[in-house]
Amino acid sequence: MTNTVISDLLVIGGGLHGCSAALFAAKRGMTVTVLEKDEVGQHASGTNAGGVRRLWRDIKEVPLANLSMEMWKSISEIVDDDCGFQQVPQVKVAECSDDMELLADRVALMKKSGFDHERLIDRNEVLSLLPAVNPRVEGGLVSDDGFALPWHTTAAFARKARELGVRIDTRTEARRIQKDGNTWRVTCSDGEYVGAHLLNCAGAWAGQVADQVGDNAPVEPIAPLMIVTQRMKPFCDCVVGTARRPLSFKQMANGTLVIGGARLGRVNTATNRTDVDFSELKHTANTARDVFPIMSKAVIQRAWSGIEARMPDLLPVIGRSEKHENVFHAFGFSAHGFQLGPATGKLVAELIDTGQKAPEIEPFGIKRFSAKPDHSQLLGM
Amino acid sequence: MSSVDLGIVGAGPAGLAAAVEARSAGHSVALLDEAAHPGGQIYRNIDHAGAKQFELLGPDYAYGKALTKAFGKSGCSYLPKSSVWHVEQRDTGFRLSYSRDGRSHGVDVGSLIIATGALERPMPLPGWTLPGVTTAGAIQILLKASATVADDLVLVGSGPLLILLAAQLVTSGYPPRAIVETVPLKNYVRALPRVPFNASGLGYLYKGSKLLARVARAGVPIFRDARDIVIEGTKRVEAVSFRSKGRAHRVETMSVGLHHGVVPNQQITRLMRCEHVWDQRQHAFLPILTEDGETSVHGLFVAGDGGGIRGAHSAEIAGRLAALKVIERMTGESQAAVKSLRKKLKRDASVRPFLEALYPPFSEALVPSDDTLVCRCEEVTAGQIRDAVRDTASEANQVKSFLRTGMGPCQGRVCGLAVTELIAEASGRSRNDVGYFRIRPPLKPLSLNELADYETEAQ
Amino acid sequence: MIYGVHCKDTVQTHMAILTNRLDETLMYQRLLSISDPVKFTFEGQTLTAQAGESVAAALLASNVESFRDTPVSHSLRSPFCMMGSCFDCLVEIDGQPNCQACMTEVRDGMEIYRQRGEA
Repeated sequence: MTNTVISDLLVIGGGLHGCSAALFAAKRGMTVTVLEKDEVGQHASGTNAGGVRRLWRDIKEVPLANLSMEMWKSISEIVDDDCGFQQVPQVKVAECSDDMELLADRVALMKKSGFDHERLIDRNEVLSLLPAVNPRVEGGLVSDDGFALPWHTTAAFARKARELGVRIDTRTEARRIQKDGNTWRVTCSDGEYVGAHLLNCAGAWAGQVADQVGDNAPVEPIAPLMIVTQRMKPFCDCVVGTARRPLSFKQMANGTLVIGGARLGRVNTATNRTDVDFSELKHTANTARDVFPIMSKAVIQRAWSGIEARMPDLLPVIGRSEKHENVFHAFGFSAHGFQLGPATGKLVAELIDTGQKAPEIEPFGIKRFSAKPDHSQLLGM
Repeated sequence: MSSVDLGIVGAGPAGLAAAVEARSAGHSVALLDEAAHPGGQIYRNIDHAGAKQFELLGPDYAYGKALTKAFGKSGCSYLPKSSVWHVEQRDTGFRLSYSRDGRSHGVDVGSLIIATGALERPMPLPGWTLPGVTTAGAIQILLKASATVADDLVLVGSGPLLILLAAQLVTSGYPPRAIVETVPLKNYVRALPRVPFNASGLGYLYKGSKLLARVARAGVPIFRDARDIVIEGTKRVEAVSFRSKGRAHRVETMSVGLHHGVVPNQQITRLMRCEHVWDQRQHAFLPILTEDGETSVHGLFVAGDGGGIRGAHSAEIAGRLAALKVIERMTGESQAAVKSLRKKLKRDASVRPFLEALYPPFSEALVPSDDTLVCRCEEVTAGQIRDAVRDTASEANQVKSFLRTGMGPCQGRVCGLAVTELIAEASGRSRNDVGYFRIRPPLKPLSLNELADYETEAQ
Repeated sequence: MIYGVHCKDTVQTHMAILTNRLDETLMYQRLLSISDPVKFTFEGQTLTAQAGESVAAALLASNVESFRDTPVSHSLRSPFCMMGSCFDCLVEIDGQPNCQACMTEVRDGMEIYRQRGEA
């Protein structure tokens, strides 16, 4: 027997963004159902490196990231769980004098735009922040950021959302999405769901969802690679990157090192399968060892990759559909969406509920990928 | 990067037999094994064991000498002390990455036979992490490899290996202090109708009864139908307490050997995402295999206990079968020996239903008390796992994300099945639904230096 | 209290067997004397083993009780599986932490230390 579930808002995708938007929509009094084809946080949301980072973001994302940072600082009040969030500096080290110039240019650009959270520091200050760093670094860029536990965070948002009445159906894949009068009808394997509004938070699968509502979204699924080591004695309490080489390096509270940074594995979104490519990860290992010589004693415990959505301009899609008043998107975070989770959910819920688009999400409309003109209309079909 | 027709992982009976078979047909074969010498666990150290070990370990052990001898003459490229840490599917087969003497290397293979055998079934009992508590297998490894015995030992559990070990220790002059046997008395009745009335099956039973008689003659006390087992001690094991036939006992001891069966080592087949299914009789997950051992991944075979526990003799037959299948693929010629080997394999397995009925896993170790550690690496208790299930985690991988069970260096080798079992108990879901940990590479912890210096080319 | 009750007759029977032995009761006994010795140190103390055996076997035969303490709770551990699966035998060998004692062949001059907590 199949039942039809009727809600004010249907969210497709039970990752951090889907659960966050559902939570804030429920707070606004909407009835919300989340459809998740696998398990909550199974892909990018639960398997990313957990950086809560504003440093070095595209300037268009900075206002949204700043708002999110304020929310992270009181994350326990939002989800009744500290999510393992720790406020620590993020440091981008300069490995040579050219790097230093690159960082200085960045600070100048940020100043011009009125942002002052990124600060240039000299070699001595880097060494005092990171006693174990290779003493040959030239300096660095630092901001007051942090990190959290990705899977725990996503689970906490889902738990709180459920407490607020959100229905989260896992192992429930949205197979067909159809307009039905003013509402949307989503057909899943075990039932039908009807919503007055539809929100696409389907991550690497969001392009397929957008396609079904007639929006163009050139989503590229990617599999960012990550390493975790066995526990080591504490030697680093910042999140560390470098000016030019891809690296995201942090030591967790339990002593393990989580190392990522833009190296990609192979991905198949149809089977959920990712393959770790050690010929890529070898470069990550090299960079980590160059920046922290102590890493030559590290032992790699595990390598993995989640499945992420990357957009051509590396910026997310957040906002209303180009084609439909009651369809919204929040996806394509291009491997840096974890920090943005709280604020994006809040502002998307506000947009859906009130129609008010906050300035922080203004730059991320789907229109920028507006495809070819709609031929069916031109031909009068 | 070197390349061969067939890669084999594991130098136990299955791996050795497969290598000899494929070499005799003229194919190039590389066999990788973690140990320094061929033989696997069952014939461990066979080429270097002395007269003392042969005397203690008996003809079943000595049998392995013929296997390693044939292997030595086969011309197989043999890579001992080589720990495979990654397997990738390639257009032309598979690439194995392995670590040897602190450096990593790669080898490309057309087909792959996994012959990595069995692991001890996890036996989480109160106190099982104390120094002095080992698996029964560990005691036997000491005997085979170093002619060293535990002087003051209590064996706890059940199964053929436990009896074999007890008999070997009796012969060594260091009999165990006691055997605390966890077989419920009703099982003896239950197993009776499954007595295999054929030459192969009765042969196994006859051997078993001789071993039991040897243990009994030595006066080793056997406490039957034991339950409420607690291993006591603070800095090391001091005693085992339990109830047997309604009476409470406490046996002081310096060592405890645990055993309640072995289970397939599924690290590689899980890494390769071969399909697995729960087998209620073996009470373990098994990779789904064709009659000749091919997994759901084309060209990837499992031979021996890794495909389901059937013992050393079956492993040898299965190794030959898998190799013949690989030869058929490469030559396009059907192999005459396949049929008779399939028959032999069936015959040799006839004792299994009896053993499985008599020696099921010990229920107290399947669903341990709340304060018993289950994940030894991350030190997670059964109670924490039950709480996580209550908090909506009802899959092995969710519990792993939540509690770090299986994220330590053993990668779930020791706790994996115990975690599945506990989640199934607490959630009421089937073991197939609960599933098993996703196995991530590297299969064994790998030094960061080694990866940084690993010379490999991208696909 | 169920536990702690001695089953006296059992213990006595077993003691009788033990007293028949001439040697002192230790955790582990070598059945053969060392014919091809290897000298190494554990926590600074010089020990001898048979060439070709594993570090774990060498330490157990020398009756070393604990090999490491755990990074999580600092509880003591010693080898559990002896076949490379359990990682409870981790020691530091010649300055390199996280070595599996059961998978490493003992060599002349090795300096071995307990692994204390995280490496």
